[in-house]
Amino acid sequence: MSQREFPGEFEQVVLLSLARLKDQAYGMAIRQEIADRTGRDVGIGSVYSALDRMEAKGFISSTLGDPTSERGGKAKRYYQLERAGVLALERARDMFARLWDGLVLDDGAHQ
Amino acid sequence: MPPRLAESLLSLSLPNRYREQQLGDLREAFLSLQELAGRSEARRWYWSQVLKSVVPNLAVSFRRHRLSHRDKRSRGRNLGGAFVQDLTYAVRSLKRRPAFYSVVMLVFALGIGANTIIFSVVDGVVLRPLPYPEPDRLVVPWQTDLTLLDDPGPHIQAYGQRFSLSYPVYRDWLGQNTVFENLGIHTVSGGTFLTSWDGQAQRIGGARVTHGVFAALGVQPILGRNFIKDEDRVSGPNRVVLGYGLWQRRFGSDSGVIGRTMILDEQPHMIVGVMPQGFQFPAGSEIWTNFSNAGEHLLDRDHNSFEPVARLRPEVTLERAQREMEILAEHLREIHPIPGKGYGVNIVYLHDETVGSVRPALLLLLGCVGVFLVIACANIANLLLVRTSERRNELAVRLSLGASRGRMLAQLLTEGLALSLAGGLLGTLVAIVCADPFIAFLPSDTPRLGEIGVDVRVLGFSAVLTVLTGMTVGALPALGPVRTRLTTVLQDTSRGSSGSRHRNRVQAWLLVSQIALTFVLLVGAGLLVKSFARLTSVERGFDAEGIVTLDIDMRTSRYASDQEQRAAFEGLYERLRAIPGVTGVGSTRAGPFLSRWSNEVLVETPTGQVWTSPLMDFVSGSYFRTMGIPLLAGRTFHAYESFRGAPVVIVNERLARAFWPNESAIGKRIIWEEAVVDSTSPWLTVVGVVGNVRRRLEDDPYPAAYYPLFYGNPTIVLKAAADPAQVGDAVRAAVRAVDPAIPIVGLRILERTIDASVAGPRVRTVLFATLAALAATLAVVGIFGVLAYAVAQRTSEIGIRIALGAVSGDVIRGVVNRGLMLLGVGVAIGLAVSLAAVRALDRFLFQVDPVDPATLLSVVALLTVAALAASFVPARRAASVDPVEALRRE
Repeated sequence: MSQREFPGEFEQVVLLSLARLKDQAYGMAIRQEIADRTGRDVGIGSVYSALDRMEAKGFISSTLGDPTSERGGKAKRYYQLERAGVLALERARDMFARLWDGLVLDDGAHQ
Repeated sequence: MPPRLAESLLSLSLPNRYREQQLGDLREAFLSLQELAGRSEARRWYWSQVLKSVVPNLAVSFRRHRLSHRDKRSRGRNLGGAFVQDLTYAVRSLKRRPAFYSVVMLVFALGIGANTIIFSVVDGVVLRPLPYPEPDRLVVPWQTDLTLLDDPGPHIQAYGQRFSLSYPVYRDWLGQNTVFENLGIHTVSGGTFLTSWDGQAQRIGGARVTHGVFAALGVQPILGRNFIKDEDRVSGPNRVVLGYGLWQRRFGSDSGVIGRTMILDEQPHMIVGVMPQGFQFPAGSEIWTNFSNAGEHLLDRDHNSFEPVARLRPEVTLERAQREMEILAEHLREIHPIPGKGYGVNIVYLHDETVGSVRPALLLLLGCVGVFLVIACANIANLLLVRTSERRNELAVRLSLGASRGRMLAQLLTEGLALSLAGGLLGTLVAIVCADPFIAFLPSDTPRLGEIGVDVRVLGFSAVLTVLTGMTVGALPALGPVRTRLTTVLQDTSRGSSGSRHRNRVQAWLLVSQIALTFVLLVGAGLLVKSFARLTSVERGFDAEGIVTLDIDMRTSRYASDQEQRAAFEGLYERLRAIPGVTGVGSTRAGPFLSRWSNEVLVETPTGQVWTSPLMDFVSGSYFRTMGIPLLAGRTFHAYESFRGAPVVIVNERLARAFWPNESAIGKRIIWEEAVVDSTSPWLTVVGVVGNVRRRLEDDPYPAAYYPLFYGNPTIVLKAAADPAQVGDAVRAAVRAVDPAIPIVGLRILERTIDASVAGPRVRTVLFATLAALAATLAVVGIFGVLAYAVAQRTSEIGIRIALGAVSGDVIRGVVNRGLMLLGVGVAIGLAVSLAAVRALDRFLFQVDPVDPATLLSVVALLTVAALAASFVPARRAASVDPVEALRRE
């Protein structure tokens, strides 16, 4: 797996929400977590799209849950953070930390 | 449950791997949101989720598809993989020319969207079977009035073809027929019953039906039972069956309602059943009673006022039923002869009966959008052809590098498909969004309006259309370049090689057919617009300006006597007259417009007595002045004549001319058919002649007779000096002041009623004109595109001609002439097609001949101006060619 790959911005959002939800991380719960924490009302399709990409990269893995009646007998797919995903998140955080280090931005400086 | 359409749309976009999970996720969230925020909010949220998710889902599907094929491709060639490769290639080439392809996509979206909407209407109204079990066995066995079948007037003839039944005839048919599994009769659609709840008078649309009606339709009540045969008897007990909506509104869906009593028209009725949701037969009914107190005429053999409905026995065909029922009718004519009359049988399918009247108009609209789509395809194919020839080098290189011709063709087809898919998706979305507003735009008397909707069938139609159009426009440009050889293409200079000559020919023919079809649409639109203008400005015979019509229901038995009812009525009259701004008040029984009442009368003419059947109305003397109907001779009614039913009559000019052509009609006499039969009433003397009035804008005025007798529920007409909309409150207050229990059934502005009566022609005209205008715009784009391309191709030739001394006028003329020549051929073909096709429009035209030279000439003029405008820019560009520059490029 590519060790040097950085997750995209939205992928980081999804990964962090997934990490927060622990063993309750499935599509709609992740979408809700993102909406609650960031105020971004994203489509469920975008969440699945990011999950699909990151599963292909090996950041996360998924297992099927049991079907329940309030879902019309449709099963859930639960996602777990893999070691590659954790490393990728850390890389991204470190990268930003290095970029921010010692930097002070002047508010409204573009005159 | 989540909206079905949204769910299937989402499902289509999903890869197999996530279909279950995503649908399940959304459903779960939908249900909890529905509990929190209500159904409509949840539906709104669901739709927004689906719309946001379709594109990312398609991206995932696409990615997964590519991944799964990457492995296979290494093992061998794979068509699906090739398709994805083509698609990638197509998308890449679309990205290079975003503006150009956006226009193409938009044209696709317009064509497919328009077709999807119209198809949804045609499908819901005409194509889909009626919502009853085995609907192809349902028929309407009309009587025919044999005396009317030879009538020269088409309306009268049609009326004679579909004649109602009397109760005794129904009983005979029921007992003696051998072809119907079930047979029932019902009162005509539009009937009402009066009841009250929550202290308010209520009017409910409903009908009297016999037990056979529900049985024939094959619909069972969800609660209780149908009427039984015994309850069809004339003086049986009063029974009522409720419609689903009424049961919800009035009884809160209480299942214990069976056996309770409900007061209808002042009579107690026992509730015996509740019909399922959506059941509405005849149209507009939500309550049904049996025939127990249907009136004193019920046993009259010649009181033909009930409509039949029947289910054929499984083995019986319509033709056989018709034959056997004719024999029965003949038998009945023999044993129950009615002097001067005779009734036959005319069995038609219920489906034809329900939608037959709107089928031609809807098919016309479908034809119109279909032609528009063909025009759009020709236009797109032409644009793509230009684009493909710009890319001929690229294609030739790929050919020389070993791409097979089949693969090249497949790639061009794929590009066409990619465009049509994008356009089709957009068009379908537009159709889904616009479906409701469009349905609201349709005439409200269109049958089965509630059954129209964008569903899987309509989406399927749209998908098929999308693929077909995509392949067509993809294949047309592919015909040219795939045949060219590398050498010819790479050597191809601007002076026509065989390839470019071929292209030019295809291009020219595409443009010519586009112009021809545009011509046809414009002619159709021109005729309809002209016809609509004539229709709305036709001499009506009355002045609708400021007229307000008030319908009240005064048939309650709260009035102890006729005098009391009359007093209430006179009081109302006084109050209405006193309203500021009201300059006239009159009353009519049949209504000032759309009346369908007629009766048979015997007329005394110089050559003997003649039977005729004029429109009839009961009016007050003030009616004619209020409505602005001119009094041509004699006088109008006196007030006392109205209340006493004096033996006087006023006829219109049509009737007077027909029977007393060379003399004054005043003092002549007519008598009602009923009066002839029971000889109780006297002859009526004509005291006045009034102007002719149209009962519909499209119908010529009929002969009419006006009688002074007042009874029942009149329509009151008020003339308002100022804005008629402003007297509404005062009118309502006046009715309340007389008797708060009188329900106001309708308070309308006559001009709007007239307006609504031509909703059908208006929809046709607006739609046709809009599409024709769009088609004309596309034609301009098409001419421009072809000429601009030709100029670009011939730059060096033009340069040489200029170098040899051609002045710019010659060059401009050359380009414009080419444009006009293409136009000329297109118009000639269009003219021929129009002349052949325009007869189909005949039935939709009012006082306009389908072959209308003025319309044809205006369309030719319009297209010529458009073609000149479209040639102008390319011609200028040609004239400004710099010969040195052009020759250097050679």
